[in-house]
Amino acid sequence: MNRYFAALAALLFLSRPAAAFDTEFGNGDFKVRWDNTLRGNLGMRTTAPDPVLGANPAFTAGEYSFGKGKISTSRVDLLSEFDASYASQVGARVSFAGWYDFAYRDHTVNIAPSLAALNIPSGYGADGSTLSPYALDRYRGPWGEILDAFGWARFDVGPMPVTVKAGRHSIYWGESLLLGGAIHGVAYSQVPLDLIKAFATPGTEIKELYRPLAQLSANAQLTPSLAFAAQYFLEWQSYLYPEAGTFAGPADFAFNGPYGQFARLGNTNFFFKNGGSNDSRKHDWGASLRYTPGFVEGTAGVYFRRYTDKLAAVLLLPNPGGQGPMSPALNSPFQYQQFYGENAELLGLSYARPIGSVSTAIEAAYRHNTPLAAQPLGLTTPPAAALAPVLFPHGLPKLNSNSYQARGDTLHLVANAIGTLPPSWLWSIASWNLEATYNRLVTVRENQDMFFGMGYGVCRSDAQLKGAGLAKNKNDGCATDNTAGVGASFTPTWYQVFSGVDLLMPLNGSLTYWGNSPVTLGGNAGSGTYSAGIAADIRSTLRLDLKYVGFFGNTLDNGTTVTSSNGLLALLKNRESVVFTAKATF
Amino acid sequence: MKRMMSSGAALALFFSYGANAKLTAEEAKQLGTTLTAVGAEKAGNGDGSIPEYTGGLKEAPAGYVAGSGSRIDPFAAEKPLFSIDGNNLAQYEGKLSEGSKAMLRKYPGYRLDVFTTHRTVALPKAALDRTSVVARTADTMDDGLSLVNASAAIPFPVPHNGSEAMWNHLVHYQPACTQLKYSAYIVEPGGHAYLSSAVEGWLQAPYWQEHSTADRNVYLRVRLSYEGPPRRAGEAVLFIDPIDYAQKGRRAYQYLPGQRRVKLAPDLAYDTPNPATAGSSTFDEVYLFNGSMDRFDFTLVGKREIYVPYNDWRAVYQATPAQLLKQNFLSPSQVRWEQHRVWVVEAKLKPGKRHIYSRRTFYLDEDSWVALMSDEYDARGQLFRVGTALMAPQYDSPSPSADTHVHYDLTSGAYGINVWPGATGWIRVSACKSESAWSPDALAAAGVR
Repeated sequence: MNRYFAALAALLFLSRPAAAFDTEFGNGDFKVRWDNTLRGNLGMRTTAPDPVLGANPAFTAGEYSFGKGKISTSRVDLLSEFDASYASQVGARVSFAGWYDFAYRDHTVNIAPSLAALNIPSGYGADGSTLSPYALDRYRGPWGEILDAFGWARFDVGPMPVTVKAGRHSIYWGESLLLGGAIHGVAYSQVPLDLIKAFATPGTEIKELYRPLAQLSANAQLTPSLAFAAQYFLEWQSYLYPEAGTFAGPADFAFNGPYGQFARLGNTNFFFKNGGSNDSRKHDWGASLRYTPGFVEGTAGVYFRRYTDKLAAVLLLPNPGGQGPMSPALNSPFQYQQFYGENAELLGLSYARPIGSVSTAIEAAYRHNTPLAAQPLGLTTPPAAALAPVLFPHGLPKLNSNSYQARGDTLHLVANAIGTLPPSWLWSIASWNLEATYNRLVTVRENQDMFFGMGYGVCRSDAQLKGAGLAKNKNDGCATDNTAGVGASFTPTWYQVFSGVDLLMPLNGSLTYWGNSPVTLGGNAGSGTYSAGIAADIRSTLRLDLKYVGFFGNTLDNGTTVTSSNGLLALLKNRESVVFTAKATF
Repeated sequence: MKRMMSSGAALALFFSYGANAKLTAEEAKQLGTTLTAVGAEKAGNGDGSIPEYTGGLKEAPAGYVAGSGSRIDPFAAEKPLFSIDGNNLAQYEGKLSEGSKAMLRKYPGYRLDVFTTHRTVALPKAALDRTSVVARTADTMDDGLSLVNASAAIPFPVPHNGSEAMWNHLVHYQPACTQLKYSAYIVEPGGHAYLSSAVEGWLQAPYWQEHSTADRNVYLRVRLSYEGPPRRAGEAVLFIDPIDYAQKGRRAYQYLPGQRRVKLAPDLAYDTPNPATAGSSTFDEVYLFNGSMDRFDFTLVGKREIYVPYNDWRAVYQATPAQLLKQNFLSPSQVRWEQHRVWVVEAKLKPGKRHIYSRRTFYLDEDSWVALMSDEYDARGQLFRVGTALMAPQYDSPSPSADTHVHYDLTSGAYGINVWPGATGWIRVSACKSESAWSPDALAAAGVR
């Protein structure tokens, strides 16, 4: 029986070259399809590690991870998607992702020679350590994970079509397109995003970054012009972060990979221990209504969501006993943990309509009781009693359900447009998109001094703070009241340049041009990403890309060591690379 | 030299070209007598190469499986009367479109196998009866861009100008609701054919429905789900085309599986290259012409007898890609040509408007008003693309259908075929979906990926 089935499967595989497995049984009611996407990435760093950036123990392992001309990634990814459906009424979907990166096969953690000479460790241990098992699984592999795993059913309640889904899937509301819109839009924290991929290939559309979560969801077309959707989460996961010691890892305490972070205060060296994540299994939920009136162009949406933050605030707590991974050589009087505030609420509005031949949309999101940006490795308790009023003039931080994070209200606006430029002698067609974001701090309510924003906590020009060397300002990333950013992409395409080959030139960039955002990953002035490349689409089956990828941002240094960075992205400013990608779906 | 219609009625029509008047009482009397109910010449032609119209083929041939949507060829046993290729082209020049001539001159292997003419197009009686009534009031507005005072009928059985003739093509008879399963292929100049789309689609023509909750100002709405190639699986598009184009315009929505959102896609129109055919044709070339007429001036030139693809069930429903898709053109032995009368409409790019074609010629079948061929010229006036629609009437419905169409690119030698059921697909009359199913958000709900 097994042999028969295997032979049948092989026959079906061979007779349908269009998909690995795409067939119908019975009278066409039962459909099964199985598609596989294989992707290979080959990247090479084009800039030499910067000794000034690398001289700071907090940033060294990432900056020295790969030298100039070294292969920074040599990765194979497989995405396997399986869909089954019966009579378009009920079905299931499972997808699996697996990978292996040869660049990390014999990789050891490298740090600046100046630090190695002083026996200063990286987050993984002495110079030459290997990455942690977690980081090796995520980067080198071979490893994999189940992404989607859900069942769905479609039925009519009277004249109203209803679809329900249960299991691991991702739902993303609103009209946002790029990472800026994903952070500032109505869908913030609805789906965790894979930032490893986002930083490895900037300009990737958010669709490739979704990480499914177990949930129950439903949508119903109440009337031909009114649609209702709701979701109830059974699972929570944070964003997937670029880890310390990897090519796109900005800071060496971040996030789940390293064992800790070397620190020096005054003349004392010690090691902050990585206490891991304050995991939360909260039951987040959301509901939305979308209205397409017909008499007015476009579709309007209103959204209400209750969420637990998925971007961490990494904060210092005392470590009773002081034992850590580097003890007794370096003790760990403090540990750091990731905090994800819960019970935040978001009220959102969206409106999308075409203007001429351009598809435009705007979103407004009001976050209530949301966690506000925190200082990376910020203190939650004063290290000495005398410093309490200096560090926390508004009062000591309190554990608010599960987090020490400051809480407040913020307002966000996103506007985007997608268009195509018509055929001309320059190109067969050129597609472009543009997304602008604006973010405003409305109020800070609780744990005010945990807010890394001007006028709170360490972000004050207080004489005692300065005397203790703890004062920070805008250049260090302290949040300002207003932030504005923009992202854009432009891709001219030439059809059938060679037989069966379309050529494309994808260009994209993003920039926060004004202010530092009061929310995590909301943007810091002067930082951004860019990528420029050429691509070939061969017979709608194989896609090849060659891209130059880079980041930029503002840092400050004293000539030998970088002393502050405005945002984490700025720390990647010297990690430029050339990446070749080949992707085939079969 | 173009052959004009020879009957007396034709002369009267000739003098009324260019006038924007509605159907006159005299013209109305001709419908059903010298002209068919939809305005075609009932009589055959002088030498019998075009027969008299006797109502068309209204019954499915024996062997057709009812409901299958895959139609057999009732004339499968017939042999061609003669063939036209590059060598004897001169003999038949007067009866060939510019595009056919260009293909015959360019490709030594290109050939038209011409068969006995069968006027097989048939429409339901209700549609025929309504036409003479509606035609009295049907009119265009906004310089031909919008159709008014018309529903469930061919609006201009006796057209007075190019826009009116094109409206007949745009709103040609369709069953209320149709379900399709088809493919689009692109064939490279070297001969390699590859799948550019595998589609399952629904069509609804509210304009033709006597009783419908749908907005009857919509003459066509189309919802397509892409099942292949694997990279495109899960994508969907929704087009809603109104008869009052000047006020409303087309509404197009696109659902991309990864984004899980429905996006307004106003650029799915005009000369935007159609990714469904890997860019080998434009959006407005589906069905040889669709969408708004606002970029061209349409002129009704007159009537001609030419060889057009007709009764092509074999190519549309039986042929496999290996059999049909040869290098540079469809396999000549799979395509059936017949001599028919067509209306010729010339389109010239309006000054100040932008389009890759400066000029287009459309050849509309007299019996169904469906465009059967097109010639398209680039900015320099060179013949660039040749469009060919394969008429294969749905005798079980009955309704005319030339949905499968091909565009030959004369400069590169590549071509694309679209809306092709082939041996594995079908076009079926189906039950109509509820109104909610046609909303943009339903596109998203339908996407599992």
